[in-house]
Amino acid sequence: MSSAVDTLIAREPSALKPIVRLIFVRLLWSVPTLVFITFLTFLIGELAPGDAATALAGEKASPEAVARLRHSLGLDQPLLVRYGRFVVNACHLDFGQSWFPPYRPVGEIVSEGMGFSQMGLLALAAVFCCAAVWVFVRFLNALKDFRAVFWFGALAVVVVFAWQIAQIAISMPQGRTGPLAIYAILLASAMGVFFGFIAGIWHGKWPDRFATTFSTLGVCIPTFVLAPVLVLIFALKLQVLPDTWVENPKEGVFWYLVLPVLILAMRPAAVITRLTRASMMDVLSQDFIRTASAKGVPFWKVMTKHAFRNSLVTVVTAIGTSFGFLLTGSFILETFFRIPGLGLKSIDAIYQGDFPVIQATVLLFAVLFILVNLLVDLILPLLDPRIRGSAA
Amino acid sequence: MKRDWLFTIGIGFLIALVVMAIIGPMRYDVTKEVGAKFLPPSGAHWLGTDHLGRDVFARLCFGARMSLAIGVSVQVFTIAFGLLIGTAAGYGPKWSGNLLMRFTDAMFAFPDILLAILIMGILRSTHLTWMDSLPKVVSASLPVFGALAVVGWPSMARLIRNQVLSLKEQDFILASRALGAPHSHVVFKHILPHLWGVVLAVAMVGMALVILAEGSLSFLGIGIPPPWPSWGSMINDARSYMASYPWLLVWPCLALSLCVLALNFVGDGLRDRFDPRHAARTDP
Amino acid sequence: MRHLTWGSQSKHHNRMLRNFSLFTLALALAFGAGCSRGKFNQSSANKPDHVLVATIPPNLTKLDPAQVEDGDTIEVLNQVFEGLVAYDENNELVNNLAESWTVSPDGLTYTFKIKKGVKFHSGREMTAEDVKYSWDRAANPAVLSGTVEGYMADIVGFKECWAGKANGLSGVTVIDPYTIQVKIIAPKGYWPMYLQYPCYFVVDKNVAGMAPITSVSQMVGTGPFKMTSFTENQEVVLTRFDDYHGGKPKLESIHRLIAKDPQTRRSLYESGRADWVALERQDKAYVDSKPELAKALTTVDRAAIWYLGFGLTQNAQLRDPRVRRAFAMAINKDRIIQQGFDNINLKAEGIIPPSVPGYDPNFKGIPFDPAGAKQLFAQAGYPNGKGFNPLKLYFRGDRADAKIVAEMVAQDLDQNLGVRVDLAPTEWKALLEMRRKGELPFFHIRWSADYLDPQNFLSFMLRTGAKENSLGYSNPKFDALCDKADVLPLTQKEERFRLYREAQKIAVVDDAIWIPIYFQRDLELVRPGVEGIRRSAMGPLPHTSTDVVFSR
Repeated sequence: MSSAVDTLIAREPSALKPIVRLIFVRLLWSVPTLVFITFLTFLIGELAPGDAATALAGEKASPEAVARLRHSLGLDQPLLVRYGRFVVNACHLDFGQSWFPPYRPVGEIVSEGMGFSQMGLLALAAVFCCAAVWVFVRFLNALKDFRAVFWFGALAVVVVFAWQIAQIAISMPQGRTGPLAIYAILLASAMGVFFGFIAGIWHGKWPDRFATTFSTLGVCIPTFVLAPVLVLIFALKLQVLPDTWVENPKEGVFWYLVLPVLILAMRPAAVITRLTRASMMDVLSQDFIRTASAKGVPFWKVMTKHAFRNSLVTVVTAIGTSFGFLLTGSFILETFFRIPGLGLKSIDAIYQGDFPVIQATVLLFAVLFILVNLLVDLILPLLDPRIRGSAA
Repeated sequence: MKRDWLFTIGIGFLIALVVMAIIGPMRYDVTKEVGAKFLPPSGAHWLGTDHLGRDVFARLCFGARMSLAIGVSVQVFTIAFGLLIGTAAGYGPKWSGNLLMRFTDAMFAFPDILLAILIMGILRSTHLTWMDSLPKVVSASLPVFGALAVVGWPSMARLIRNQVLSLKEQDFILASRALGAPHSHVVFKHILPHLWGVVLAVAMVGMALVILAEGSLSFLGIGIPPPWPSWGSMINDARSYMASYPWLLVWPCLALSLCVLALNFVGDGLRDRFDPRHAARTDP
Repeated sequence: MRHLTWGSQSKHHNRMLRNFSLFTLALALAFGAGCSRGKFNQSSANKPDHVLVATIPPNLTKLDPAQVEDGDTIEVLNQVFEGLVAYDENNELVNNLAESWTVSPDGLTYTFKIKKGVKFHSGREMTAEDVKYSWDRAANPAVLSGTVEGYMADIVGFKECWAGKANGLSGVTVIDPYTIQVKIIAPKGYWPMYLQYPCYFVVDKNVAGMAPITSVSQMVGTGPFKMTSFTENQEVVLTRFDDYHGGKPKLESIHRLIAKDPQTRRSLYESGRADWVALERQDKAYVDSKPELAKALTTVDRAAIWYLGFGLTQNAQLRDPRVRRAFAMAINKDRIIQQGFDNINLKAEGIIPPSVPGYDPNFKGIPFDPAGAKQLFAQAGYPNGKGFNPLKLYFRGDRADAKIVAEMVAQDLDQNLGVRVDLAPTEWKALLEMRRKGELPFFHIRWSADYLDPQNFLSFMLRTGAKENSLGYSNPKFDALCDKADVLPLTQKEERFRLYREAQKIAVVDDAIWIPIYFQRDLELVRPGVEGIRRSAMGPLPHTSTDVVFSR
């Protein structure tokens, strides 16, 4: 591997070296981070009263029976020995078995809860989707009528999303953290970029006011307020949407996704709106925009080609970090709708004291967080040549 | 100018909330049954009564008291601790700053709610005798305070460190150092006075986040223990009855959202005042 | 993606417009369909018959009958495994895998004749060897059972087996393939009732080894249903066992949807996804407001009591019975039942629930008397609560009903005695740990019968040195009454009950070691068309006669 990297660096030293260094440094630093986080989890588990053996033994067990169970789980060993064993096993990607029925391997539980297989399919669909939108926008660009470009572009995105969701929704279990995060981030990006874009253009006018209000509300209204209120309105009063999650429903999973995805998307949409707007305004106040306008470049072209493309750096960062948070942050939503994703599983595991599952979940969340941040930092130089030099 | 207007509204709402938090619960005991249950709003019970016949308005006001108290106390702790660690890391040797950065990075990678739940698991069943001498409601909310303080301080420390780093390189500090001022003088006379504006602005938004986190914990049923009302636990309780009595759900939702909104307005307003650079960026 | 490739511009515009209008139309239609009230709120008519879909609140906690101890999991395992005896609808102990049994005159030796032709799910015939193997297995330390110490300790040879010094229970002998004999240490009239508890259930000795059962495929019993799958947080599927010794069950399969949240369960019923769900009390008002739900509402009495208990080991102030009696006098149970529980539950005067033989309808516990309570508390040395240390009331944090009781009790004690009570909602596992260590000074918890006998509520819980007595409670008078009653054979009903009732009076009135609050009564929605459910006070019986017919 190192020879491959060397050849890469040798071939194009100026561009690649900082990126490769960035990856190495980050991955190196992630090791102590992960060690710290997993050890902290172990420590907390040690300090918490009542362990899994207590929960498993139940109400009628004597202290001796509990001690036996504890021994069979290896919980009677010293903390450091257990931690050492965990680290060694984790290095082999072996996280053991859940202590509670149906006693499944932890790796299986975690990947199922996260929905890795669905995420793979969705990633394919997303690539497909992007390509389609690109073709569509390219074609419309040829039309010269930029107002139409704008609206039909938005329409196309909606159509394609709807179509995709319908397609995928038929066959796969969707109530998993990964797919939910993907749908939510797609929705949030579409909403956020759109609102932020129009707010930046019509700064101070009603679209701006609308977008600002939306983004402020989105940041201020938490999931545990939004979820019950929306359920109250749409499920209990209007009765147009279901109020709880159901696996493989007959009506098609789309209707069951509407509320969870909408609620999940709210906060990231607000953040993306806010940052897109700020960044658009930042760019629009710069000289080259005035130059382009003075040169006679049409308004919409200035907005899309010059302004928007230059504000993309901030937008992508916002989308990336939001996605990271979505992957690790849907505990309340999943608990509320009882969606069997990783958030629900981890909270249930905490209540039971199912430590193999807690450990693996925390570790996975940390790894995802690190990777998403790294990915964002890697994409940025591709979008903005100015950052390329200072990537490390 | 619009921001000034929002700032004023935010301040106004917060003052109203504080007043409500102080006098609201006086009318009724929030932990006791004061009438039949599920009474509709009336002169005696402005927002009606809940599933145990307790006055909803009084409980809402008490919820404000809990949220504000937890928000403020956690932020005071975070700022104090953040100043200590942040200044030490920013002003001290380079390795200490790096260590802090790595530590905060690691804490960021640990999902907040999960960490708070895990810590609550320990703190809730820790019973120390000195806690008995405190007022009941204070000892009841200590675990939440502890969990949120542990989760909250790293980001504040990081912010302060970054601020200190940029202040350190400014001319007046360099000049002061060149004139032979001791480190303590620089820190206390120059750096800290320049920090507080930004810190205050961030603390307002931070307080909103703390209130949200407290709400999440209480919503999950592991925050403020009963019988003390908290907006989160009121929402959680109301969920069971929301099909028949939706208003029980609406009030705490509204109160919590408005409170967070007001804190954000105030935070933004303060930031505009103390960090002109930021203001110029968002509102030219 | 077809519509993304176009020809000339004008054509393209038309197409786009058409697509747009089609899309809008589709969207409108979809929403229209959604808006036709009750799309997600209806009982779909064309559901298969003979398939029971019911909910179950938590995940199964065990798959091994030797280990299981919580009611919900027992209810599921009851369909798969069986014991020699079982309860019937009249709460009588009847033979199940046993054909008959006799007890020796000294009350120490029990001989069971076993039914012929009972088949395991594997197809093999069950014999006395399997029974002995199953019991030896449950007592084996490698199986990690938490329940056998309570229910098998009376068998000769259990101690050696549990300590790992013997391979089997020496007191259990196979006489011939259809006869098994059990020797117990001391005569105990209620002992045969233990045999219906899951740790005595019979497992196939060729499948279950001397280790806990950890997979569905190992769950081979003689019950009317086989477990086919279990997915955590989703569902448990049971399918009919055609060769069941009691005749082929009518149901083809049972699906138990796992739904922890009461709102979810109600919604599953309303949307027609489940036909039998357990409700929480707070749903009662909603159910009453909907006629079609109110029709399906069923109340079920369970042999269980919710009570307040005192731990005396660590708290010296609670050792004074006057303090405990004052507490009992200060708590207004009627208010809890009326305000908190909508009068659904029956107030508990004593400890023994109505569905347990020996219940005394005329028994009166300590009545609510705030003035008397105050006086008694002052006599004990705490006028207006002065000098009394703050107390923590522990209860399960995830149970809404426990929270309601705890809140009201704290109110009453504060108001009537001036006692400061802090509420401590606690995770179940932490609560168990503290209870086992005797660290709970004051707690609200449930005790639910493992067999329908007063012994299970009195000597089992409160006798000096009883396994469940982590309270530090000891009263020689109580012990003497219990000991006397325990050895009497079940046939001397009246005398037994009289003794237990006297013991109950000591525990509740004289010593007030427990403050009984209410007896458990569950609310359930059972869809019309679900028939033949049999229940005992312990819960639903195996679904041998249950049937689901919607097409009628």
